Amino acid sequence: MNSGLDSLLRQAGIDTSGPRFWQRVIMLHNVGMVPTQSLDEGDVVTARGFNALVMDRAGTPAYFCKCRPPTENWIRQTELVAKLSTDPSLQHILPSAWAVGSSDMQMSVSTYVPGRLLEWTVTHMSATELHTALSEVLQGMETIAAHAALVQPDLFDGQTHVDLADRSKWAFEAIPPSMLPPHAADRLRDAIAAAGRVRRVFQHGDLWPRNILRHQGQWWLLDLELFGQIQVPLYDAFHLFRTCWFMRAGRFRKALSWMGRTNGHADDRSWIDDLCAPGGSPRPYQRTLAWALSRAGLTAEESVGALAYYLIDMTARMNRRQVVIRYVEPYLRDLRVLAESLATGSAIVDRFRDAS
Amino acid sequence: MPSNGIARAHASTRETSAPLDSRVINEAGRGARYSGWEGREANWIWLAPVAGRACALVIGDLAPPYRRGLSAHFDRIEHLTIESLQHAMRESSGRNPASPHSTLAFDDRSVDCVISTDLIKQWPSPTGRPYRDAGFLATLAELRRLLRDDGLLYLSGPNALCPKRLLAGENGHALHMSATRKALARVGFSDIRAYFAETSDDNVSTLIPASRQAALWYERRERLPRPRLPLRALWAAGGMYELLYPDAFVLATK
Repeated sequence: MNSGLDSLLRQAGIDTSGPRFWQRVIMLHNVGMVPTQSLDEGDVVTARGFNALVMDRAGTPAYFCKCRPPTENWIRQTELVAKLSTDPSLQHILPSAWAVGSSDMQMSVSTYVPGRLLEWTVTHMSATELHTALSEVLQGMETIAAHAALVQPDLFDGQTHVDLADRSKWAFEAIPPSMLPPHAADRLRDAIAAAGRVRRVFQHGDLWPRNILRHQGQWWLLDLELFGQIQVPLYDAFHLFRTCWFMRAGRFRKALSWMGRTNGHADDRSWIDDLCAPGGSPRPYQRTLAWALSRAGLTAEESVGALAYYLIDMTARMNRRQVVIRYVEPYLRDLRVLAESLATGSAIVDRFRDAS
Repeated sequence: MPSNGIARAHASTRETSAPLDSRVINEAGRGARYSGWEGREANWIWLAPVAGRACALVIGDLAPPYRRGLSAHFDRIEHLTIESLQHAMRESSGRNPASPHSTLAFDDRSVDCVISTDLIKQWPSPTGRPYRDAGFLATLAELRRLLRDDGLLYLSGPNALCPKRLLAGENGHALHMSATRKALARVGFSDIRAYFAETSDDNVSTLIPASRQAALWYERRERLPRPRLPLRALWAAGGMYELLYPDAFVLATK
């Protein structure tokens, strides 16, 4: 093949010989030019580049590569992931990974793990299966975070706690009043301020069913591109619960639509409504939430602040990246519902207090 | 050294790899229009055989972001319109039909890469299939002359076999993969690689090598959104992957 990508793959020890090697490389998720001549470190735009799927001679996927401009952050990230993947206690959670690079591109190469994505099964799981799966996944993430804190303590930047209000300032500024009314933003800001400073915990940053794989009886966690950049506890848990809820609700909507019984209400539901819903038997997320809250060791106020932080942060990131509005809108709806809930009483705080 | 005044006059807009406009990124950081996808069209270069990086020749139009993407890979980018290329080829054939050489105002082996997304789409052929046109083959040979040894030719266009195109009645001026490969081999290119390109409304852009296995795995595991019925994967498994994708391109080495 003898291409630019080829030489980096060889650096990673991958056999690229053979005249037909080019037929074994698929470029995926190509979202930005590499190299780039100007990059603002730490900016969302650094998440540019592409992925590559490399197949072996038998035509089976063997490696997955994330190819990005060689920024300091990305080089550090690829090296951290490579280091973590060699830790014996993480060898059944993280695929083996290598960091290779040139002056134009830095690549994180990992072995391709076959298996079934949680995305494929989450819609069909029973409440108990879902609870078990999510709690196992979050435990796996806890293990990774604990090891990362040992391997790379400088990720904490010398701080043991994070001030949520300070950390979320940029996010409030990134969402215009036309998307989030000022009174709702004020409620959310107050909830975040009330949480104060919370203990830092490394988060995956994009823990959702497409990055979680079941293979040989284990949950594997993929795509640690953003790992450690977010250090607010429960961020991963909220993102995982929310995306699972959305996928399962989507299935329900499709079923209603197929039966010709959709009336639009399903689209107006918010995940927050489900979290706060009273009732005798807890719903799957409430049960897993209770489990996650107890492990995080946060007060109800801190947990609500972390929830508001998660929603505002995620919405702001999506908005800044000009993600299609139909993907941002559900997060905005959640923010508005959370703000209303905070304004009309303390239902959500009570719910979190009960859960924890 | 070839020289042709008319063609030289049309070989225009010499473009150096000026630094990218840093405002693009800094504005995005402030919440202005996100431009992170800019230039991604040029990432196919990462899959191409390694060639020189001194000079690329663009035939026809390219959107500014694509050109900026290329400028990250080449020191210099030259530009030639399709009209001026055709004009030069006509002039040449009228003057000396036996020798199409010395048509374009570039030295032999002076270019590292020739890139065109328009040549096939805009070539004036009544049937929409320029591959049988002697003038088109002469043009390919002329482009080959400009390339350095191991230089690259990149030609892209709508995939002629994509059923969506055929159903829409767009059966002309598209890239017929096998015919293009044959035409390129006929004028002396070697190591001809074919790819399909796909862009979805999620802005997920994908380049798939023209092979059954690659299409199969892409359809089975990576393509979004995931369908409930794996019909596309079945097509790929059956070897009909050439029908699945809207766009295609070939990379040929001199």
